[in-house]
Amino acid sequence: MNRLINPIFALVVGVVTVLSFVAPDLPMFQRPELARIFFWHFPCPILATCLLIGGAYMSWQYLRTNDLRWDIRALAMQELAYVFCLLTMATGMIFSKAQWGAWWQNDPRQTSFLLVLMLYFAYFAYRAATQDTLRRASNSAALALATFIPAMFLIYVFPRLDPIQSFHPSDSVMKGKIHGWYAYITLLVFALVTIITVVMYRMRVRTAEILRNLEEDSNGSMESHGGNSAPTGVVRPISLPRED
Amino acid sequence: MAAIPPLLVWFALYLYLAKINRTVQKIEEIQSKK
Repeated sequence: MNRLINPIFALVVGVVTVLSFVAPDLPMFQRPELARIFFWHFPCPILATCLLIGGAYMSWQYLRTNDLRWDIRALAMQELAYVFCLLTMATGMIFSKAQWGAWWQNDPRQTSFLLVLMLYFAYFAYRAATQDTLRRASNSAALALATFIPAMFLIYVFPRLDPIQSFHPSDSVMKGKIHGWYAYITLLVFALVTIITVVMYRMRVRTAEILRNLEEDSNGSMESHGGNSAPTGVVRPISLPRED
Repeated sequence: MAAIPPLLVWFALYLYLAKINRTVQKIEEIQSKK
């Protein structure tokens, strides 16, 4: 039975992808045949948000426990969140071209999302630049937590503020404008991409944990046993008895 | 143009899978040295 799961899942992915092309055009769009971009654009920011929330939670757990397993989990969440942030931007730009005629038009939604991408780029740049495992884990956890609230503000609050005029609709789903074929296929795509994301998250965490354990074993790493102690070669000041 | 978003989504997930696969290869390398 287990051997059948992968081919069946691949078949379902194929069928849903084909279904997304068979769906009828939506006349309310500038180019009705391109409305089906929605199936692939809509799940991306939702998943990115869920992963960013997960990443912030795991970063907080790391700061609370100092357990490096939380750092690995937080990193996996943030990486996947960034993948979906990039996909949101890319599919959004294609949508923008199809619906409003330009790839980039300085729309507040596009601009605020670009800022989110830049904020989280700093997270990965910091991690790439820091060699010390414990310092990297604690500082990047703090950075992830500090970035989370501004990111949520930029994604969900800023584009909806009164003076902000955006082409991007905010209420298509809430007002029931997405129904029938479009609702079903969007849900199917959302479910499939979510399942694949969860599987990849688990694989990423598992492999990263095994690799860290192996590297610790082969290096006899100090970090796992004496992370709070000073590195070798540091001369500590000591108090000597006074010779009076 | 409607074909680009699904391709992008699957390709991005494939690339992430390739990144995981690189970690697996690294694990195998370390294990083979032992």
